[in-house]
Amino acid sequence: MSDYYTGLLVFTCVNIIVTAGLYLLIGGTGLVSFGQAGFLAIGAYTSGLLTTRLNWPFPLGLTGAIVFSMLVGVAIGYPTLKLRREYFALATMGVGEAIRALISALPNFTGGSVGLPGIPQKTTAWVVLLLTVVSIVLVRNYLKSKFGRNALAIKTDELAAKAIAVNVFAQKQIIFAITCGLSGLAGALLAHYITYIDPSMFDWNRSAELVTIVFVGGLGSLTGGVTAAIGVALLPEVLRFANEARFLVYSLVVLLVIIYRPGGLFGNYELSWQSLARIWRKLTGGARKEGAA
Amino acid sequence: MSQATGARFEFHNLTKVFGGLVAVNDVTVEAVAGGITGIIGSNGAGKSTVFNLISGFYKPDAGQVLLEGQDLTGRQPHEIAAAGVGRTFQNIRLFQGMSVLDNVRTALHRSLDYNVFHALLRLPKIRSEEKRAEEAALEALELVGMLEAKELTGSSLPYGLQRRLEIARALAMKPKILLLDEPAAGLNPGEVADLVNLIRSINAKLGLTILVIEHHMDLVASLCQKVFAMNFGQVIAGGTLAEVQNDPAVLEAYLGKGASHA
Repeated sequence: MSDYYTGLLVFTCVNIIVTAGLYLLIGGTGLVSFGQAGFLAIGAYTSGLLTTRLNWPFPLGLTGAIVFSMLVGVAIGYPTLKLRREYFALATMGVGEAIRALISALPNFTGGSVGLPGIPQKTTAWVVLLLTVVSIVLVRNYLKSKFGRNALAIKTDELAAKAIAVNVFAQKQIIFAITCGLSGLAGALLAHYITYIDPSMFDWNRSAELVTIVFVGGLGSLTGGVTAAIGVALLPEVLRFANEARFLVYSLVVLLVIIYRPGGLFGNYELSWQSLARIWRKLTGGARKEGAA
Repeated sequence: MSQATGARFEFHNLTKVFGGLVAVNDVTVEAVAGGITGIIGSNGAGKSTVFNLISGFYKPDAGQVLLEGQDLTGRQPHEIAAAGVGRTFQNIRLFQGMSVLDNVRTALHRSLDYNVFHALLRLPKIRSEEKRAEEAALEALELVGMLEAKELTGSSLPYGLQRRLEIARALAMKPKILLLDEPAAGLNPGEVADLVNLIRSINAKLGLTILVIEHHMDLVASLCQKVFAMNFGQVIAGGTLAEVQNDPAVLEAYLGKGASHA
């Protein structure tokens, strides 16, 4: 696989992994975090520092990134997850920017705004693909369990959820920890592909883009989120010929989706192997008929 | 049988002040163990506030809530529910978009013996536990006569059935007591008659202690062994419905001063 396509695959999969986690949070509890780029940064820097400064092997660096992102997620979640939805969104936006500012403010430790170079390039196409599939499966499994039902109950009616003994705060803590862990994993995978990271890569535009992906994909559809993540990663490449105009087209697509499909492209519809097979049969069946005629 | 098995439930001197308004003032109620107890009173008398105090949605400023002698005062709503207090809401609160079965199944989360790691990895244990949950959910639906509706979306049902579903959801938790907040609100006379039969049959089958807030006097008359009347945040009378209806304080509250002399 050429470098160009490997790069595209890595960036796409990084988006998918964060989206899977963020979908769990937004689609599960209704809370929107505008600070996930900060957790990408935490993952990227944790693994980057562990592997360069302490010479930890790549798998341990990834694990460290996941664990530390989850711990920060729990610490941030403790005071913020009890807030109303709009305040949680604002608080996380602040947290994301604070993480970035903190990384810039510690040049001796993190390299500051100059960045952290020389991270070993370990993220291969197979590693990123495998971890992407694992992430999606974990989120799907969570949603298909009693925890998924609890999350949906919290999203639709927190009061009624409490009345059936759901510990709303604890459930949100678990979900936010998973969301942040996946963001950390994605950040680490990114760092070990591009080998150089600096704080400007993880600004709040990035956080907003990630939230946009979930909303475009559909708040009730994990496969919708995954599809949107792929689309958002690939669209700028497809539109590369259009240069400056591609951001215009991108914004237009997002706008049209929000206006004409406010539930997201997929709404509550989930792609399954059966539905994929049906689409495949339709396509091939149609082709055969055309061939016969 | 029901008298022997029902849980004891009582609350003493409950008080709640909102700003300068005393919404609930020194309210003491002892529910009939294994029976049905009613709380009646006009709008704004503080009945729903009492329920919200019992179930932890409001913190009482004073007083004590006791379930089987266990002090539940001031605990979190989910802890109180876990201790065995099931409830329904005056404005039905179902989980929008969930099927009838899933609405009930959600309430079974505490009895499902698996943790987050089992769930994430979808270990074989999940399958058997989920199967058990489905059976228990179906059992609760059967109890309220809603088996056929299990696949439908809960919030798309007629009001009377939504109310039944909310009761089934509360029952799935296997509560020790059930609080019904104006269960007849918004129902037509036919639905009210069905509801009366339902509540009576649940009470008889499960021996469950039930506390009901209601305006609807027919429902109270046909169900409640004991009734407490509230007015301006206070209990003004307690006893059988006949006793309460003839109580001078109640007559005065409902019909105005001088009514008791008539």
